[in-house]
Amino acid sequence: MEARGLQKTYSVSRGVFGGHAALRAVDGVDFKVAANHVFSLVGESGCGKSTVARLLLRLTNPTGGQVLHKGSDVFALKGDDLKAFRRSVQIIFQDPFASLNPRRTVYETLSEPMKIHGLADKSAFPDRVRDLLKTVGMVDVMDRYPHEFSGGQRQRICIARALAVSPEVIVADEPLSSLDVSIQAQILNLLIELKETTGLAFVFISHDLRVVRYLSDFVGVMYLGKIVERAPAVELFDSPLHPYTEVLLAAAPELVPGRKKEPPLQGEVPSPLDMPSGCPFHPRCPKVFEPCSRITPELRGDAPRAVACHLHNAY
Amino acid sequence: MHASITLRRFARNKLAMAGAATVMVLAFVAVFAPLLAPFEPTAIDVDNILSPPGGTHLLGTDDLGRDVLSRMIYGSRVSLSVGFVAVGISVFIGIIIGSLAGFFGGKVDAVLMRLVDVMLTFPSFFLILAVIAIVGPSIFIIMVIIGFTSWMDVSRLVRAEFLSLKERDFVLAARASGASNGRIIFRHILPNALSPVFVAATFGVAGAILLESGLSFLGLGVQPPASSWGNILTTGRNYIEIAWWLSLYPGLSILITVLSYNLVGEGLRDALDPRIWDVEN
Repeated sequence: MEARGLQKTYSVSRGVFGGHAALRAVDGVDFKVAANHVFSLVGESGCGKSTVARLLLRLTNPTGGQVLHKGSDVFALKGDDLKAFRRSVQIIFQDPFASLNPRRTVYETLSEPMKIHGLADKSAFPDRVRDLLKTVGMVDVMDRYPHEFSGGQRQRICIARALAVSPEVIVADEPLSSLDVSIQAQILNLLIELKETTGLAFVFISHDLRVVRYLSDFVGVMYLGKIVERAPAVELFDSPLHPYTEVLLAAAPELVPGRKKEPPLQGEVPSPLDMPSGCPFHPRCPKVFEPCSRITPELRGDAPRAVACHLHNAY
Repeated sequence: MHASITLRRFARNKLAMAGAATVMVLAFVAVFAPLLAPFEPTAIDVDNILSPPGGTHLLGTDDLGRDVLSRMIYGSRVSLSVGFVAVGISVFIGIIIGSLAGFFGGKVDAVLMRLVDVMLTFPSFFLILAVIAIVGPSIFIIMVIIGFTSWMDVSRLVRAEFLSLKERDFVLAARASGASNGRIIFRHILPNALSPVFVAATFGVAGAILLESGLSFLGLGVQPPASSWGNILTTGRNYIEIAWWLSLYPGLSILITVLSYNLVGEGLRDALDPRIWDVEN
């Protein structure tokens, strides 16, 4: 699966006389994820990570750019092709309390995708649902309703739902961040186990760098709708290039004990309605210099490593 | 919210429970009217014209010597059937219009909500009077017209629920699973959008009963010799100085019925409201 120049702009009303302003939630995002690999998108809240997730699933339409899956543009799919796409790409949401229909039993929720795609004979559904629940480490709870479960259990059910169609790609939009820390570890282990046993491609969206480091093969760092640095996970964590990545890593102190601390990031994330000129990060960048406020740096470098910063790219 | 919690919260509301009990008694009376009524509702007893309550005619007789109690028992059938059928029609239309507007949004929404605005500009009582003047009075016509002129509130409620539910993660997950629009609407959104509709429907029954009584009182509803609480009242109006029972009993029936439905509606609304959580839960 591949994202190419993905853009999503929302039109935001500025009150009665203000007209409309363009909110660039996602502004030219490119990345690839291959089977058996985990690509992580990290960044502060509001940087457009979740919008990317919805775009990858075709749950919202892009303003520009493409999502390619098996070589075809996802947004151009129709009919059976779209159905096949729905079968091969699944999503896990952040909030397990909002992502299960409160009026449907676990069995109904988990058998629905099988029914839609005709994956098995109806008589085989109970066994398949039982298997799915076992895969995510749950006992036979098919006749219960979501409100009878804890957050961690619900998230397991959500993962089971995503697995029900035997997908090739799973997009996980902050699947851990609304869970308790101890539960986070369990779910994380479950995801790793799935990656190792099924050969799935994962797009993992998170703001938790510890988890990202633990899980990812490749990482993209997002800031205000753009990927500012993209690299294999090991390289990114060992030698970050973009100043924003450096600051992010420094803000997670337990990662590398004894490392010299960067000054903490000053100021707020600028409003995406009122983007800074030039590099979007320049008002907060500790290494800002002359061209930063004038020229927007492009994401460049030798694949798989790329960075959007004037420090590293000749301008 | 889960049904058992709603029920428990409803049961703690004493007024609502009293309303529900009254509603059930009324339904029982309407269903078993032929067994409960001491006389035929149209049987004329010329020896006992305008006889006061007591004796063989428990609630007295009217100007033709008909038993008021029996007429009222049969009248409850009219009231309840008008209430339920009219509300059934209005809920059906309201759900369809509201679902389409809320789910598809954009132009569909704009067109349907303008239709709602237009419908709301008609004073429905006068619209009903006009239609009856053209097609003639009948209980069937009354049910249908009340239904067709009272769906707007339901459609707005359903639309509002759809607007918030269609962006919820479980709906997105269903879409990501390849669910069709129909499946998403009927299996995922609608079942979660119905609580406010139940409340509105309960209030709607009260409104429809009141409307039917009003029409019958004006002589445009149920036609004599068939009885309804409204047309008993009309007779009562002519004899109010000498036969108070003709006005009092049907008037009380209307009052108590409408009040009961409103109490049930309010109880349901509070029980279904997730913002009102008392300590015991």
